[in-house]
Amino acid sequence: MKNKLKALPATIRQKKRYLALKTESEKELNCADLSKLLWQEMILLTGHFGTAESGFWIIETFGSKNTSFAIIACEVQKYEKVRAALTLITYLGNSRVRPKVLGVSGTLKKLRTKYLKNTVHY
Amino acid sequence: MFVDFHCEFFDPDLLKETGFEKIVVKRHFSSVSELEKLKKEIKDKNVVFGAEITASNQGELSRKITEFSKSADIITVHGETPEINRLAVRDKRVHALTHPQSIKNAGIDHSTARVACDNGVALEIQLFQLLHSHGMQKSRLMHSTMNAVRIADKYGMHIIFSTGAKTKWDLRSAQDMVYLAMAFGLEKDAAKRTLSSLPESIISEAKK
Repeated sequence: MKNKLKALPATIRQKKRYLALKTESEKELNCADLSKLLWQEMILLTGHFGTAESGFWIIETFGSKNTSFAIIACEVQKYEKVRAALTLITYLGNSRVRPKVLGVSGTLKKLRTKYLKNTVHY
Repeated sequence: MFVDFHCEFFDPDLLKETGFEKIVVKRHFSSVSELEKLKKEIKDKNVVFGAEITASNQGELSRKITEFSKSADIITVHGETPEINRLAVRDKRVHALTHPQSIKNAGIDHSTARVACDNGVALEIQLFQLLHSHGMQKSRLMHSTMNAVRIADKYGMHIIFSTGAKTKWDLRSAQDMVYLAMAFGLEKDAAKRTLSSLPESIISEAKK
């Protein structure tokens, strides 16, 4: 017997949007830290309820030196709020940052080929 | 075409990266000579020069407006007390009232918004204040900004969003600014207008 839950029924499942985020930082940022710090900032800016409602989820972080990238998933109705909240990030840890949303897509494949193609990772 | 209505520095590479095609280099100048000096330093067809005025009374306000309107293309008044905000929107030489909102209130009421609408004075909301406030202050400032946007929108006062950047870390892309404007209660088209056609029309009117 499979010990795995079935996926949510399509009628309950919310559509997703994927955001490609680029952050330029004053100091070098560790990619593992980036994910943790983005979570902290989102909870600070939108609250626990806001973060839960938006279905905020960090799929991947990568980058080198002062430029880092993150792929973020969120629900389609709330992606505008998530994008606005990401704009308000000024510090990650002790480093000043300048976030920029490179693009939004409905699929991960399209996001990677369209907005993250020129990064070292892809 | 996106226009940043308030930026304190000019970097052509950053301007291109953020998606703004025109920029208003605006500062709190202490004298006209400072502005003239800056004009000589920056020579670019996409840059417009402006002055942000701070005043504590009516006399100082009108004196400064007269002084700076000769050499600056754009004149904005820094929002202070409700009295100063009311006086600022009565003057037709003023193009915008800059961030009148504080953590306590929106800084404008319906009568101020009506007068501003008649005189063509816009409400300028800067991202800088929001970026550099924390905790309760940030929440209250966001609340006041939402109220100011609501009042201005209802009474026909033009709304402009700008970065108000002092360093490159305060700059945000034009598209991200549109979503921020939407978060404050504007529709997508209206949010786009606050960063494109509205500031552009103010600049072209001012340059006539």
